[in-house]
Amino acid sequence: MRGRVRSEQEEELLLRERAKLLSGRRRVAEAPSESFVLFRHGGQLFGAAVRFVRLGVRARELLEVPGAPAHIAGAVSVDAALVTVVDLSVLYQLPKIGIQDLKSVLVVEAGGARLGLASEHILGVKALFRESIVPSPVAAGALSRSMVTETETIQLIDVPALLADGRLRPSPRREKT
Amino acid sequence: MSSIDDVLVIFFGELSEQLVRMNDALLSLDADPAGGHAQLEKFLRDAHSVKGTAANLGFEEMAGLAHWMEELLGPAHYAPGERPAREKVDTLLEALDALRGRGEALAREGMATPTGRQRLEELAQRLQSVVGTTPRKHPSPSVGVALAQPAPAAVSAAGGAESVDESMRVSYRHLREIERRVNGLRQLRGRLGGRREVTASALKQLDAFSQGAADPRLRELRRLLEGLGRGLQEDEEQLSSSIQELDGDLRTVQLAPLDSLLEGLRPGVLTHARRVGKRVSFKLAGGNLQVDRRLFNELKDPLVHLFRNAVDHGLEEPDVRRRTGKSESGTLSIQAYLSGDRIRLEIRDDGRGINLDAVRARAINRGLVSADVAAALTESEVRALLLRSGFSTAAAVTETSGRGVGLDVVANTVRQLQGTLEIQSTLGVGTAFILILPRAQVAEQVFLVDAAGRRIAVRVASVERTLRVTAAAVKHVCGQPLLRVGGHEVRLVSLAQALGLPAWEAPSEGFPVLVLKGSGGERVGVRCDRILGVQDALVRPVPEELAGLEHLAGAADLGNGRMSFVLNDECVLRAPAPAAAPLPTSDHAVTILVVDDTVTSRALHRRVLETAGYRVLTSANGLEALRVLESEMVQLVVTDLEMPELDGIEMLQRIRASPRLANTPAVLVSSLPPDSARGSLAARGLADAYVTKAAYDQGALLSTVKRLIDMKRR
Repeated sequence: MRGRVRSEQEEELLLRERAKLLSGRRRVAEAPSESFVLFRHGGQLFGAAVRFVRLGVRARELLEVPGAPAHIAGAVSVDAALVTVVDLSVLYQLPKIGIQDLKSVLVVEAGGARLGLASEHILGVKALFRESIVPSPVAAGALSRSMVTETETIQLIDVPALLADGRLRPSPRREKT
Repeated sequence: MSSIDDVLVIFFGELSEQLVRMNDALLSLDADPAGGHAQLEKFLRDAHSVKGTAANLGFEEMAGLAHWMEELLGPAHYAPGERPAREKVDTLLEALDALRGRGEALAREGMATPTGRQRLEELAQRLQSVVGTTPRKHPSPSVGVALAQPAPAAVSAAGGAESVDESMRVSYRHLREIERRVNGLRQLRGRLGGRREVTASALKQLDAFSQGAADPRLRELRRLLEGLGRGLQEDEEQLSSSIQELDGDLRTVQLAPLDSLLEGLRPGVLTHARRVGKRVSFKLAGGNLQVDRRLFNELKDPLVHLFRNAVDHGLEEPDVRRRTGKSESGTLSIQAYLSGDRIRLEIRDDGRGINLDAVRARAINRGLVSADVAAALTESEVRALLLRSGFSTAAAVTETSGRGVGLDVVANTVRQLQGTLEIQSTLGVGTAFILILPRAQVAEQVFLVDAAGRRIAVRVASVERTLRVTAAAVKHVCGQPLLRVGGHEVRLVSLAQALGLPAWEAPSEGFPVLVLKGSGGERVGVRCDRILGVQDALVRPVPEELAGLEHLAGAADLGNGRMSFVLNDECVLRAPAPAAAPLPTSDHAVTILVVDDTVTSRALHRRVLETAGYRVLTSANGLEALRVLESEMVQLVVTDLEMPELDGIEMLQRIRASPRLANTPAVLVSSLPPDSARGSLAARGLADAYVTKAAYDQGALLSTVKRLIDMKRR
């Protein structure tokens, strides 16, 4: 196809447009990503950054805690120590759809503290582009970020913030004086 | 060959034991020189071993001092049977103390630390001058060379050879690695269990597909799947058994009875007492308490400090004690016991006690508090001044007859262990330092009991006796149930209530009671549903998130992957009598059986139904449920559909076929939709209501349950 002769002005404009396009493509190719372990619970899809995930255990050995508040689903034994398991749906009062067969517990760790997250189904590890991560519409405590996919929203868990949640810190026990 | 870290761990561990033996042997030799041949041999053998090993690792100053210790009591300078000179014994005791300190400094601060080195060199020179010869040089091989072989077994005076110690040392790092691998085996067991369930599910699907067809290929496939399922079950059971054995072996290695650990400190205390001219007897109670060795290692220094303080500043000189009517020999007693989820170590002396006025005066003098503040302090606050940094000095001790150096260090260590330190004292009678520490892990026996469907452990050490009691034996005074036990009337409480769970009035025909007895002699009877037995358990602290639940003292590892929470008996013993509210009677309660193979579903249904006032029993599969139905009056069943062993359909078919159970209402709660093949099969005549898990609603379930129960009653 034969093109017409462009003016200097038009050529400059075209070159600028091409430069813009090429630099944009490089940004997408170089966008940093972070890997998350995705799991489903209470009809919600959650993600926890891989660097905070210690391991996943079967919930068959979940120990019920008599007298515990509702957000504590139980406890599991990990590396010869007991780890508390929390139900994120209850802790952050997320709308819960139906009841779930708790199949596994995802154990997360940060700053020497550990916590188990009740999960119906651990889906696997997925790399998420940072630029796709946005403030969460839920905006509840450690659920401050999310990523919206074509079909649903992944609630991303800020593990250090979760472990520092005051509701998971006990009130002082009475000591003998 | 081990890494150098492992070699050093072994060396420092052995050094500690060798020095204790040498100390004992020396004191025995001093007390009874005529009968001390064996003691002399032990001393020389250990000295030789310390010399050799220290030299190999490049610790020249330790090797040098050990050499002169060996020389001093060796054949060139000591005749067996004669009493060693006091100066010799005192110097040797000082040398042992210096070696201990140097070893601890090296282990704590690293091989380059100069701490304690100068003292060893000075003592070696002193010993050399006593011996009167020039010290020999020792070569310094590079670090990492294998340990020198120990000296050959000595021949005792009786002519026999002594056996070689068969024990070996393992570092904590290796133990933790073994623990991790055992946990890996538990996860493997979990996966095996999962595969067994998948096989069982495949078998069921095959049966549904074949519907009894006589095709030999289907029969063969069935036979293969059954064999695979059996094989997986056998492997799972064998793995469980191995894990249980490994757990037991780990426990044996990690834990030790407290008395075996404290006994290692005794020679040092007695030696120190001798050095300062005092006499002391050392008593230990509760020494069979099994504690984590790591906790004890942290406590060793504070304990040594407290013992020395008791000897230095608590106990009086023999003549002073005699004048005040006390025995010449003072008593230093250590009592250890479990209290709730804490270990209590009480170190008591029967010495002069703490002069509170003198402590106040000293605190004002040192500018720690003003005169007005000091006057307003309570007795315990005055005693707490002793723990403040800068309070304790030698001069302070002389002037105040109070405590000596470094109690602030003791207090800091206890604080770092998340414990507390209390001081009790009576002037002229004695002083007690009480360390209250969270227990790392402790092995003990527990009763396993059922309460409101939950399995709970109760420490055997807290239980005075168990009884089976009928309702007629319980009397009520101002609404408080009381029980007569061994001539005493004790409060009767429900274990379920103590745990914050729904509780029911006891069945009239009888129920089990555990009578708990506290350290102060107080008693309480605890009613449970069933006593399942007694077993050994490793009790660990609860995680921090659960630390506020006062009724829990820890978590018991029962072996084989099972765990149970441990009741905090102190919480039950000191709890005030509950308000006189009548409990629902089990005779009139509606009992609902929840059948589901997943923990959370069972827990959720139970919570919802108990909150609504129903009595709830649970089962993990259809077979278990049928066993419960044989022995319990159940008014309604809430069941899952897909379960191992016996699924919801087969269970309901058997219920409907039983004349006694045929009219029991049933609610199916399943993830399968009701129009699925299995869903419709279940709904057709077997269940009275069907709820899908995806659309589960608590209110709807409760109204369905109420409706069905009301219909049955009419």
